[in-house]
Amino acid sequence: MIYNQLTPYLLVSAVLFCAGLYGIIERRSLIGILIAAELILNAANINFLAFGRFMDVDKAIGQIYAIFVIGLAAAEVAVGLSIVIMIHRKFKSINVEKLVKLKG
Amino acid sequence: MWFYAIETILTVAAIFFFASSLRRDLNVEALEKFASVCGAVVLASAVLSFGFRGIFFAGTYEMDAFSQFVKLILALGYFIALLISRNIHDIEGKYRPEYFLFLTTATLGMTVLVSAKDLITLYTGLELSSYSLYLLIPMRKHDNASIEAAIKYLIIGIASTGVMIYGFSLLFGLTQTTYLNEIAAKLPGLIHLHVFWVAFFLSVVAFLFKLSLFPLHAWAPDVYEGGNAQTVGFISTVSKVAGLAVFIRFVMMAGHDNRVLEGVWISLAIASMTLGNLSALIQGDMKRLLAYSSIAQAGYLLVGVLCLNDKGLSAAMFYAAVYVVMNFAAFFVVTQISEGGKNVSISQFRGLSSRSPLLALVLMLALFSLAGVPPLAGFTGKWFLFTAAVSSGFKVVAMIAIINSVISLYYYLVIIKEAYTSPDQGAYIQPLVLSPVSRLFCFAVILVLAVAGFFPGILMPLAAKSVSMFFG
Repeated sequence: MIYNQLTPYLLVSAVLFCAGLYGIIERRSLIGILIAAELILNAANINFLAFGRFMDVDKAIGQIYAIFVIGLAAAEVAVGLSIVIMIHRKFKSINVEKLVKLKG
Repeated sequence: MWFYAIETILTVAAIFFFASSLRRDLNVEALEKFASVCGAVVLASAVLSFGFRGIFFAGTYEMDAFSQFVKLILALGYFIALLISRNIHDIEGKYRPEYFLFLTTATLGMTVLVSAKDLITLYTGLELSSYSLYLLIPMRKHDNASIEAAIKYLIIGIASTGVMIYGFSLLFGLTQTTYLNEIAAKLPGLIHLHVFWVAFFLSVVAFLFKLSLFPLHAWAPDVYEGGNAQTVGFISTVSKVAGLAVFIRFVMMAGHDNRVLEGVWISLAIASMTLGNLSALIQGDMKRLLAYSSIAQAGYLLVGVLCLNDKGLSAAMFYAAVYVVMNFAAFFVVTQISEGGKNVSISQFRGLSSRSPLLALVLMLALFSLAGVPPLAGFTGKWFLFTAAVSSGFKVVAMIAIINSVISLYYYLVIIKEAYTSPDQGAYIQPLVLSPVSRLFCFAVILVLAVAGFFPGILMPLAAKSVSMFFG
């Protein structure tokens, strides 16, 4: 069966990873960018869990790593959203095209 | 217990700063004094624990010669950051405890980062330091620029760590372990796989971001311009050294098989140096200029790393240690000149030598050292770096690096020229009064830059010893 093989999981995670990268580059809304970053982390999580499940390795390692990633991703979103809220207060918008004070 | 001296003290300090951020009747002056003392204690503990060796937490955390040397540099940078963080005009008094708190947790994260021997520990340490730095930038009160800088830093930061985690997951799949030592042991069977090198490159992306190397340098100018000078000085030195240390650890894991990616490292180094120096030529804002100069400096450091021998790596560590002092000295001058914490343009340096001869001298020595003028410490560091590159067969890279240092001399000299020409009638004529602590800091910087330049035999053996473990 397809869910008993490693490859489909890796394919799904690769697609998620690419979608996340594309989202970070293409999205104009800051919330959208944060969600896209989450996609990348979830792609990594799928990899960890799939490798842990199908490879000859202690099952706990991949799962523990995934839990760490989930936990730190929550902290990351807390930091990110707090800055986004500040931006909304000052700029009255969360569109990245409004943020042109500094010319990178 | 003594083995964790630095980590324990940093944790206790972080808890203390957190507790004082909850107080209503906060004595900011006493807090600043305490912070300086705290920085001194951390530096002392780093010196005392310099010789400690040991493996902890089931092999996930290791104190080796390399990590202890890097921790010494980190503690030095932390100390300097707290020392020059007195009377910050652009962060409100009530946010000062939080400012110290996040500086402390950032340093704590970096000490974990350089000692980590496991991918999970590494990730945790990296994120602890990154999140703290993301929050330090928007604390500046002046305008909206700092918040904009913060979100740019955050987005590029989380994107690069996300890519790094994806690379880690592939490394885990290839090696079936998260221990760096076991990964290194399994590498010989993997180096012929393309997917391994993809995973390896993705894994170091976050450290390239920390180093502000070429493809991930875009945040640096904006963040440097938007953040307050003390924070930015911290990011440009301490954070960079931590990133360099982990980068070296990763690169040395693959050892000489890195020849596969040699072309990538060479082009990154050349691109960073050239782009940084050429862009710095046209900057008007001092911190923005220092941002581009720090991108170029990261390129020089990479020249040492890509030699992949003890000569190149010890030169890189030597230069990193010296770089912390000289770059912080430049940012220190910015904090002193800035009026009410506002950004400083290069024209505001005019007449500095008549306003404060000592400050002008520190500025001149720091910038000459960054440019690599003999006999200062920066010159000695560059000498080691470039001779290592030449003797390892990277003659073209060394040549380009030397041409770049000559280019960089121009924009550093423009600032020094401003500082030493007499001012026009008017605005910036009033003398600058330095506090006793600042005065002491100035003398210490002058002493360190001169001593490390004239007598590299003091610092160089330590740097060489710290990297010798990669070749033992």
